[in-house]
Amino acid sequence: MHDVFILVGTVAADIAILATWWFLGSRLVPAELAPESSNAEADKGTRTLHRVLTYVCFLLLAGLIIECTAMFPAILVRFGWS
Amino acid sequence: MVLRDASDDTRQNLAEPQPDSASTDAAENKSRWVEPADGWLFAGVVLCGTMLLGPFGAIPLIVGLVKLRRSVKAGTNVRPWAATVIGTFCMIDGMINFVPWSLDTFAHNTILGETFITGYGRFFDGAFFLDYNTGALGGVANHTEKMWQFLAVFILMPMRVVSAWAFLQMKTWGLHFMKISAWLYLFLWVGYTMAMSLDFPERMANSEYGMGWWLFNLFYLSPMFVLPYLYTVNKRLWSR
Repeated sequence: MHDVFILVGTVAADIAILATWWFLGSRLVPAELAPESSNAEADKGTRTLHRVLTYVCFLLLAGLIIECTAMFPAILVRFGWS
Repeated sequence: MVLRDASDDTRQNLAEPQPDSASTDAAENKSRWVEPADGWLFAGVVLCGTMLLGPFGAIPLIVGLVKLRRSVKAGTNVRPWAATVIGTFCMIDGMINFVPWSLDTFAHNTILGETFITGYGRFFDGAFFLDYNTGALGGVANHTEKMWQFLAVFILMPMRVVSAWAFLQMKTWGLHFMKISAWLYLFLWVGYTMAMSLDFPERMANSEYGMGWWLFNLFYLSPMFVLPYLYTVNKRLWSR
């Protein structure tokens, strides 16, 4: 009986995973086939999304620049040449 | 912010008759990049992306970003600022994964390669330090890491770098390849996170900074931030 619960749970998990990807796939319509009304630039919600993503990515970009600039000098200062 | 269809310039260049070859060359030079400051951007990203020359790359990269920002404020930009930020982030992220991992793949016996890779290992990830150069393929000895490394060096990261640059240049295939490489990146992120977590005692626990796991996870999350943009952007802008 213990195995039955696990197997049923596994099937349920598999179905949930497949359903998630079905949902995602059906939402992400290829841009070439999308109706003109779905063109997102005009949509206010999309503009907000783009603004937020731009801020997040800019912060991450700044972090990467700091990492790129500091990593090798820090290694040389801390450990020297191998 | 003024958004102008990049294909307008291309169509104009094709339609207008050019009197001589010098003018043709000038027109070609003019349209080499989408934005005039893209040369600064490219130089900065490539230099920073090597990690070894990172200190020299920050200046041209920042100059490029400042020039592009001014262009946006003046309304003379072709490329949206969001595309510049996201494309630059993805390209530099691809480069800093591609170059150091390829250094470990091909140049693990060099002083420069070993210094950088084992130094990174001591700081953040013990797999790049412990038993270094003792495996069958050299470099990092951890089998899981080596597997991800080959996937990254030969498939994902070079794909990411070229697609990000093509995306910045508003090429149709750049937008397409950015989507593909973002999904592949998500695939890598899930696998890599699992590998890092399962090997935590041998990897992160053997480094100077226990925050390594969080650091790598923050930047590897790029597909989560990029995919929503790629699927909601005005695709007609990518028409070069």
